[in-house]
Amino acid sequence: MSINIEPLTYNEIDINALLKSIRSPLSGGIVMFSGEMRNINKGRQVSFLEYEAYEVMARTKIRDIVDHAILKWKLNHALCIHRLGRLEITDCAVLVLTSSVHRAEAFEANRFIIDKVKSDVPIWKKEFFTDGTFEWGNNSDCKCAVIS
Amino acid sequence: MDSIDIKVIFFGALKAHYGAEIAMSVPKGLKLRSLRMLLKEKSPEASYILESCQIAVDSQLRQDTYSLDQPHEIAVLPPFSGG
Repeated sequence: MSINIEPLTYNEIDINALLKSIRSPLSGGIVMFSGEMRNINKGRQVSFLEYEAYEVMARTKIRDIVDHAILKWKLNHALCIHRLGRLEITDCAVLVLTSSVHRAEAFEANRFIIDKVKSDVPIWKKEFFTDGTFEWGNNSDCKCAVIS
Repeated sequence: MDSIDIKVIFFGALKAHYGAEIAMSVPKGLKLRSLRMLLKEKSPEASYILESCQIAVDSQLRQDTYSLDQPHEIAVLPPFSGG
């Protein structure tokens, strides 16, 4: 089942609390992916970044992706939460947690969820560089796994 | 010809060209393909971004052949970059 959380937040993602919320006596494994803000992109030094979303659609999309993964891989629990607003270096931008009886399903489902969130959810990243310039991101060059 | 009022909202790099949203009165039955053209005419320098955008009507992604037949919220969505 999906954990009932708001999938978008302007606040820091509390990884420890969310990890605790997904623990279950039924699960032999939990997989966590934390997409983190790094200080360099395409050779340029990043200062900070901002995320924005078409929120009404992004919420629905994230929930649909997580629900689909739960059914497909028969997960015990799964959640995905994405940050919006300003992020600093090393902040968690997106967290995906999946738990299942055995680890294989949790790994596959986790990869599926993060790849689908990157490709299908209307969220945009604006990177601000240390030289004072900025640039809107584009996931079209990311190497997402193809899992139907 | 009947017209309808629509709200068009913009994200990412498009906001520098159109602002966060604009109100438009368009002919009833206008296809999204034609709306895309109208937006290009309003801001020709945004054409290259508009070419790669998807369009959502009332939060549902629609093809360029979709016709607008009532007041709608149109969202013009540049390539996503979340995660």
